[in-house]
Amino acid sequence: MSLSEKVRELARNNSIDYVGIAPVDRFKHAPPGHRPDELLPGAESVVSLGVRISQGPQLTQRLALADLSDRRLRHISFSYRWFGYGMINQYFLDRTAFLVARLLEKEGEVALPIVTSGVEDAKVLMSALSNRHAAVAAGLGEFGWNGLCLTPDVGPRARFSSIITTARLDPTPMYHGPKLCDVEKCRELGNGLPVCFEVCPIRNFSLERNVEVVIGDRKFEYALMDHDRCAIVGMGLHPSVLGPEENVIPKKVDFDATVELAAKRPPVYALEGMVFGRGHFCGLCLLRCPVGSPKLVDDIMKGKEKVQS
Amino acid sequence: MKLTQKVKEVALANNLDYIGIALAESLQNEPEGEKPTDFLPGAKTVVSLGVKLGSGVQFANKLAHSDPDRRHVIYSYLWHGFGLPSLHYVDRTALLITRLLEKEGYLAVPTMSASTFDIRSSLMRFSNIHAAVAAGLGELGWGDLVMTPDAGPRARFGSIITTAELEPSPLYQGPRLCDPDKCKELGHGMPVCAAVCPTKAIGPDEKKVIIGDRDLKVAKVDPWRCVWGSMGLSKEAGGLKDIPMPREVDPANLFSALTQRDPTQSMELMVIGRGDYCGKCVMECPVASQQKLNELLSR
Repeated sequence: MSLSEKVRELARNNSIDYVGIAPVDRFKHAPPGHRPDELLPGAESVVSLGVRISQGPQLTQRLALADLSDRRLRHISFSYRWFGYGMINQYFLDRTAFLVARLLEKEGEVALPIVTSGVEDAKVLMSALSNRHAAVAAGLGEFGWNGLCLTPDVGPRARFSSIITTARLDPTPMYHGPKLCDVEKCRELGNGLPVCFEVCPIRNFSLERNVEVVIGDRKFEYALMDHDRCAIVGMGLHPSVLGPEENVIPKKVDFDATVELAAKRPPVYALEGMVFGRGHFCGLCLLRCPVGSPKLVDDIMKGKEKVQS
Repeated sequence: MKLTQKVKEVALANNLDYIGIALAESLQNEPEGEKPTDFLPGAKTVVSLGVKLGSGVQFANKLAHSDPDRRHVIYSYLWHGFGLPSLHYVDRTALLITRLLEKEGYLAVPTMSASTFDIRSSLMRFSNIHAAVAAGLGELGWGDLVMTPDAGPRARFGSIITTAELEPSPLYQGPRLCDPDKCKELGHGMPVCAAVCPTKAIGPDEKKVIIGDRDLKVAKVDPWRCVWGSMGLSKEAGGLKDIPMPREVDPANLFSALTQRDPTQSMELMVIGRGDYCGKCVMECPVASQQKLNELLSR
């Protein structure tokens, strides 16, 4: 069995849904300091791993956020925070990335796993290597307008991790299937705006400015978004994601503003992540995306959400 | 192979000790917002999973609590008796079962084993304990803990609420495990769990719990007082400093107490997140207690 096959088999045996391999030259246009061969000199390949977010945890988050009037079901969204975020990231993806790194090392290679949900430098909110970009480079999907990696079967409802390695593994072709995210069609569902824009509690995507990304032989564009403002919502500091009701998010948010808002949280909010660390409090841009939306969940949610998609 | 059997096999293959299935309707008398159907409209059954606490980690807890010079051994209990079985074993397997059920066309919502859920109201907003009792894994003890025949309350539980109509397990029908009146003789007039609780969080008031056709009476447990002990905010509960506990514990004064901890203690959970410093109601319960641990302690 080739080393690439061994890597794939190991991943599959550990409940990983997606495995792809990108040669490092597909990343040559990545921002300086974030190219795989800058993080691991001599790197040849990047292994991308992905796990789908289960439908039950998706449902609990949508139910909890659908009716904010009395916050009656706020507590059920914790199933999403843990089983739709922390658990997948740490105990499925990171755990398997560690195993893959050990396998590669045993074969005489060097392997550097990237933390799934890690932001290494909180001041710039950018991980060492973008796991989203690596997933696209490894052919697991393509970018949606919201900048997330969409897979053909579940759209953006998956989490990704990467392992940079000196091993020259067999690359996976990039995705060349039918276009997954059609913004113009999506506007019909989102009252004239893309659904992810319409459901975002702070309408954080730019309708005018795009980010251009070149990966391998493909050029992508997705909407520019303010990562600091997204982080505020993701951390549960905004009332629309069941955070403190009195919080007002300033127009211009930076690291210091985030730290200040977090420090001012009422104790109840500061305490509630203590068992599992951090979960994601929002996720609406991925949960509501029409690409790969789960029918069983959509059927239960029919008529319950403000923006119907 | 039937789906129920497949679910059980996943659990057993992942080192879980207990697996049972409850009908969702047997938990319909849980408080508003905490019923299986509140988490998953159309829920039919609840899978309950459990892992026993190892003897060594139980001993670590007892030793650390009995000898201040051996307090450092509490770490084995904090992690191997709380975080690891809860997060790595029960929760991870719950997600594997969720994925299996989903693959078979059903919806499944796993609930956290060691959760705080929404801390505004209490520790838990879905009782994994009541689900375990409804799934026949044991009986409900007076301290509102599951008593299994072989380990008493020394196990951690998690649940998966699902639309799948799995085959329900019968409720526990064996000999009575927790007898509060008999226990009072051991606990100087009150059940042992209440007597050993450093924050007096258990009873004496009682509450009614209805599981299936069973009408049960258990102690009212003050979750905030329990958290005060669990977080080691007194020496008796395993902490390094006695922080005066207010009569009414709430999130605000609990948060304030956390900032008053000995700096050494506030750093010691940095790596593992949170562990349970106390656990006395579990460790000292006479049901299925391992005498050999007390013998080791007296050496």
